[in-house]
Amino acid sequence: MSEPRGPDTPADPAASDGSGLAVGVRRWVATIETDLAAVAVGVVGSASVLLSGVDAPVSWIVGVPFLLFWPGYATVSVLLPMAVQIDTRPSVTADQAGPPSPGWPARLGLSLLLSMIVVAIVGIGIDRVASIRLGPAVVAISVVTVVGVVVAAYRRRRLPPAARAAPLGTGRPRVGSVTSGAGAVRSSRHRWTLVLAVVLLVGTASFVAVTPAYESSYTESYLLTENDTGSLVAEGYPTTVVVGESQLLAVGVENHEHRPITYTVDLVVERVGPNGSVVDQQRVDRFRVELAHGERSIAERQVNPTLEGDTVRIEARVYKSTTPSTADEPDQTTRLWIEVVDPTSG
Amino acid sequence: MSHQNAFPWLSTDHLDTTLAKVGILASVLLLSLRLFSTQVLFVVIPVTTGLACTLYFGIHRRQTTDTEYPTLPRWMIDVLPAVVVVSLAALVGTMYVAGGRSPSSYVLAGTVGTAILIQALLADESDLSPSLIVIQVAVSAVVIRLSVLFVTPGFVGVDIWTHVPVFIDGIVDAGSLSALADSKYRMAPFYHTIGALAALVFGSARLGVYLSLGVVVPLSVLLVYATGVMIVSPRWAAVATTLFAFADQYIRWGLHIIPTSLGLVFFLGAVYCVTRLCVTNERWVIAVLTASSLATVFTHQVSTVILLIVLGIAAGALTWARLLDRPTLRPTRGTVAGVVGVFVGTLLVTGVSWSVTPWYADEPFLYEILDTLRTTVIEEAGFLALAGGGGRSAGGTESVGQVAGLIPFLEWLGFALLLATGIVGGLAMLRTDHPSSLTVTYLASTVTMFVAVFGLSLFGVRAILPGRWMAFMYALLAILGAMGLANLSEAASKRVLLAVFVVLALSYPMSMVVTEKATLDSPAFEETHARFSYTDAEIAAVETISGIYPSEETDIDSDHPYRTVFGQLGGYTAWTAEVDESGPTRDHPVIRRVYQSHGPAVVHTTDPSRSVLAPTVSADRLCPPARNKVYANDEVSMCTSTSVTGGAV
Repeated sequence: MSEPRGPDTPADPAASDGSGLAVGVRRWVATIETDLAAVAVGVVGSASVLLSGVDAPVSWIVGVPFLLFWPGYATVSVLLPMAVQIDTRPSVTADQAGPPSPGWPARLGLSLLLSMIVVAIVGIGIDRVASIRLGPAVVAISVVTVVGVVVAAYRRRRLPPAARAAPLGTGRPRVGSVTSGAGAVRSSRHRWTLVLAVVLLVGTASFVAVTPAYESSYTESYLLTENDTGSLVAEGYPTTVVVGESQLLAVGVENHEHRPITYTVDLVVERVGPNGSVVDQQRVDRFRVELAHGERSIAERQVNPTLEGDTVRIEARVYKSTTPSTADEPDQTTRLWIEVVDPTSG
Repeated sequence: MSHQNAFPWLSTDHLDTTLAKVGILASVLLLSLRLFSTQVLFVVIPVTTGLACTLYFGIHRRQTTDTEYPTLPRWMIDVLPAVVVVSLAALVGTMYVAGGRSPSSYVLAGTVGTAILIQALLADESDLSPSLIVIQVAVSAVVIRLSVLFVTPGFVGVDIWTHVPVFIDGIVDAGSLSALADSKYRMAPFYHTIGALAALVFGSARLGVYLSLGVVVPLSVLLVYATGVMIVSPRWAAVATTLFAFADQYIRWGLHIIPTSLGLVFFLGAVYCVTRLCVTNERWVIAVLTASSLATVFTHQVSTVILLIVLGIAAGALTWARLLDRPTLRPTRGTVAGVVGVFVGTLLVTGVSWSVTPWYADEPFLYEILDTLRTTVIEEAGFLALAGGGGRSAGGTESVGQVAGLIPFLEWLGFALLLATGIVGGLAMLRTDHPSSLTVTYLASTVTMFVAVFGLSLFGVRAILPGRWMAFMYALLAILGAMGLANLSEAASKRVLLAVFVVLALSYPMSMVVTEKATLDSPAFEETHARFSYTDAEIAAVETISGIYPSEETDIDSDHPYRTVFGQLGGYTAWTAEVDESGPTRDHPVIRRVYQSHGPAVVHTTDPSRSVLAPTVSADRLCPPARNKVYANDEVSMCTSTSVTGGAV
């Protein structure tokens, strides 16, 4: 890419008059590429914020451009130091000169793409020399971006001021240079309508972002037994129980109802006939569990069934109330089939 | 087309109208395939091709050049951006209130697309603001996708349950990429590395992926505009951008954010570079093309294959143009060397990378994939050996309700419109004075992808995952479609133009946003398509069960797709539940969920052996009362076999 070498001093007349420190500072400020300065300040500021361990939404606000935009924008600025040329031709054909320097949609799109590449390469690089942790990642991305900004500034200064990319101008920002083609909302009435609509969208999105999202309400319950190592698991259940000998059974209950609940758990033993009908029924235990939202309890109970039979089931009936009546349907039921034997009989 | 160029057949007078005639004839012949298969595509593709070719042929047979562009009043165009933004706000609000997508959110999303397309298509030149349209497209794309992601518990889709909780969380936990060491992503770690760094910045892997790749994927639509504006005017580039942003397959990869999604972003960058190199000579473009191409290799294998095809075609077209085109049209030696070099380099890096990439078997990925392709072509392929690899199918499992037969046609309407405009654009490209290398690259790449997606599926060759190719093909189709509409605007009568624009603006977005792939989280046709997202209770069941029931080398059965979460998040060997008349045919624990009573999840039956929709199998067949029921929440239960009852009481 051939680039005409340009003067390193700005064309801004404000920079060439006056004297003293204030004038010097003003002159220096006037030479700064505002967009690159913004990237440098943005990336260093973002890095400081992220390393300080802030939570959402601040980490979101600074983290998104830190990862998605600053690194790529610096890289695009290195590759494209020249100003955007507005092309209004309907179609670029081979009979004409090539297309002009890429416009801002292209530069923004490429910034996102190159940010992904830079971040991925930085991550892989960190993996080779250190651990992938927040500190090394933030520092490495910042360093790469700032180096890109410096190189981009150097390349821009090799061009005449008028040929340099300067979306925000130099010294004093001129936002219009980026958005001049984006507006075109003509009447003030329509402009204000659009502004109000945007405020509505931002307001809605912000409200949704800071307000807890809808979560469904549910309760979990499960039956556990002790394995060889003493852990409570949902396998290897006893299949035969001797009358008179108690059997350990653990009932787990977890509250995800978004309110405190006192659960009532009934342990019921039922002897089932050949056609699936309940022949005998016996409640062997009832206990209550008080749980706040997100809490769980595993109650270890000794069950001592006395209903003899080869198709007996133990049911753990969970009610989301403290005083369920016998007519109430349980909210949840888990069951375990066992054979209950009485060595003293027959 | 009067000038001589490197491709004489392109210079043939009236080649475009000749091909249009061939297209009309071919569409009639293709329609006869419908006699051999119920595939809806055997209607959609021929009819679309026939209509597009007829339209093109018809408007270019017109003797008059009198064309008047249809426009809407200025006040309407001015108010539409506010309509778009208000609709987006309403979309966010309704989804928040409903806790997910509902019919109103589909209508609002479609309204947004329609309002944007109307601005792009029907604004007077003096009222047109392409950049304002592109801003609306970009904002809409981000809002539509992120609002879904943030109201949906867990993740949307299948593979992401492995990529994020297993690989990215694994990298974060280990502090290194060792979590990928035994996977096929060992040599393609870009997606997971980005996800891991974002997870560190945002505090969780889910948030990290959503706020990094979840934002980049929809915003990559800017690259479509940047590409389009090089070959059509800003109005039509804005149309291409809108068409792509609302395409179902593009929405799909913005919801199911996996390496394919990032591969698509890099692919769009590569297409931008290739297009630019066809019309200019700039070294920085070669640099970006190299970066995009290698990034694709280091991200995703299928994306790499697609990119290599486009690069290969572009390299060949530029070389040919360099050798044979007339001097004013010849690309420079540097451009040709650059593109050829990028293609060869990418090919070599791909070969080396794949040869050291592990896959399921002991052999490297390169060998395994070639062997799979060989096996597919030799042993499985056959004419009309269909399995819906091209996307939505009309058959498969049993359908619930009579309306199910019509749904595929509604869903393919958007695709048909995109294809029709793309065909018109392809024919128009043969007529216009674009560099021949650009014309060949676009047309050959699109046709190759089309054949890969639909043609090879026709023969049962699905090893190349044709469904993954569609979003990539859509990008080229959207640009060609914009060219087609631009061509129509110059040749068609006002009445025809208005009809085309109105049909496109009203039908395209609405059809696209309700398709199966665009609504994985909450299907618009919920009795036809399974939901590929899960409720809080369903996710909690996986987490709790994997905590209380050892998952190491343990089998577990459930419906498809729920079983996949047990496999990926739970660590089980998960199977689709199989039942006979008496109950489960295997002793594996069975996971039953309420969704199986009304949603089109799939289970297997052995009498006869086939896949059926879960609602056709009673709850007692999946989890018979004679089994232990050891876990329950309000939506899910787990039953295990027991020797006590032997399966019957």
